[in-house]
Amino acid sequence: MEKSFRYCLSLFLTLYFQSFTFAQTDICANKAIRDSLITRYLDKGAHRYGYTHPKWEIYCDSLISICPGIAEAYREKAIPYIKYGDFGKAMSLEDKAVELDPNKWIDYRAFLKCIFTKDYEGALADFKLARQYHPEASIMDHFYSFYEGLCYLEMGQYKDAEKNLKQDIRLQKKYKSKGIHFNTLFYMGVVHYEMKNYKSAKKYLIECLKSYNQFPDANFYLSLIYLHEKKHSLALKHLELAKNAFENGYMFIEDNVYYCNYPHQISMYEVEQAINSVHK
Amino acid sequence: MDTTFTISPTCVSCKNAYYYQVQGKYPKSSATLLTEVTQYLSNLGRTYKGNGYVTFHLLIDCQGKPSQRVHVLQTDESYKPYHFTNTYVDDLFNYVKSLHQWKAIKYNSIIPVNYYTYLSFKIKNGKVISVLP
Repeated sequence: MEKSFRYCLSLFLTLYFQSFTFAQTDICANKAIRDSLITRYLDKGAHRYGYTHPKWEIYCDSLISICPGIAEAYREKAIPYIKYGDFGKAMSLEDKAVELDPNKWIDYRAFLKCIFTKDYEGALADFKLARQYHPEASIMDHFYSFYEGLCYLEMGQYKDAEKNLKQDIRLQKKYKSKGIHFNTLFYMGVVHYEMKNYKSAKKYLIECLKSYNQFPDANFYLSLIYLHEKKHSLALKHLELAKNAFENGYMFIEDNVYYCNYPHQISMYEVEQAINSVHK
Repeated sequence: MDTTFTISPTCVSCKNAYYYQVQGKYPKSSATLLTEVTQYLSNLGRTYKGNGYVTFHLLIDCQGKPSQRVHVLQTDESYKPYHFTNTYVDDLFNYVKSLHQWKAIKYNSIIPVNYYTYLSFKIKNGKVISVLP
């Protein structure tokens, strides 16, 4: 009697847990339920605390334990790690998000590789894949071509950098009505500066400063061109403008600049060094 | 590697923030840091191998002094666990210890804080090619 009771109990438990697994699979396949879980665990869960709070990860892990196939959970879980330089943990989570939903997350991983981990070859490979899903899309305020331009700039492939930034300008003209972004103009200036095309570099940097005249980095690179032209008083003027801008809180404008330095970004230190060298 | 924990006595009761909450990046550009670390390593006259990232997590106290306690992370170029030689990691850590311009930060210009920050070295064929963040 006891033996058959145990058998029945075992059978019941097996069927119960199997039905739970099937139920979990079923609910996770339902988009409406998935969306409501994302709302519950991310929008109204993790996001209420912020990614520096331990509950951020607990909410992400809870969502993963309910539906392991929701890419957003991995992407969100990665945020504190990428922002604190734990690239091993961050990128394995980003890889999982991309594996689950490449259409949605491949461009974000490309952006991270370009700006956060300075993995320019990896970023270019990801942007190439991203373009298969979204040929003329943008991520973090810029078209893919902008970031590709930055990758090539940092790899020293200036012609390719110029080509991609020109494409970025074309796309901005096609899709945006606000004029060309000052950072695109800035990087066009930097690329031409690196190619020693000082006339073009100056043109782009002056154009950039018309949009954002306190931009310390643009004033700095413009001063380098004036130094090259032996126009020391103009160079000094732009270095002083850069210094003054830093002192008044102006800086490189990008959402993620608080987390990492952008390519060719400078600081007050470089400005002061340059001013000292002009005075010598 | 000496990672003894020290913090200025006046900073013990301060709250801890992250560098990105208080604009606590090291006040030199990545390009300048790259030039400096390259020179530093070159002066040691050693050769190194490997590809990937060596990252030092640090706590900067409210007086702008780095705690000696660090957390070291290492990955290969695909972000998988990897170990560079102890000599290489020690040399990079000694370079990090030579940086003395960390900012003493007051939150909202009033409240002194300690802050967590990091420096990461991206390495290709044994050579540092980028300094992050």
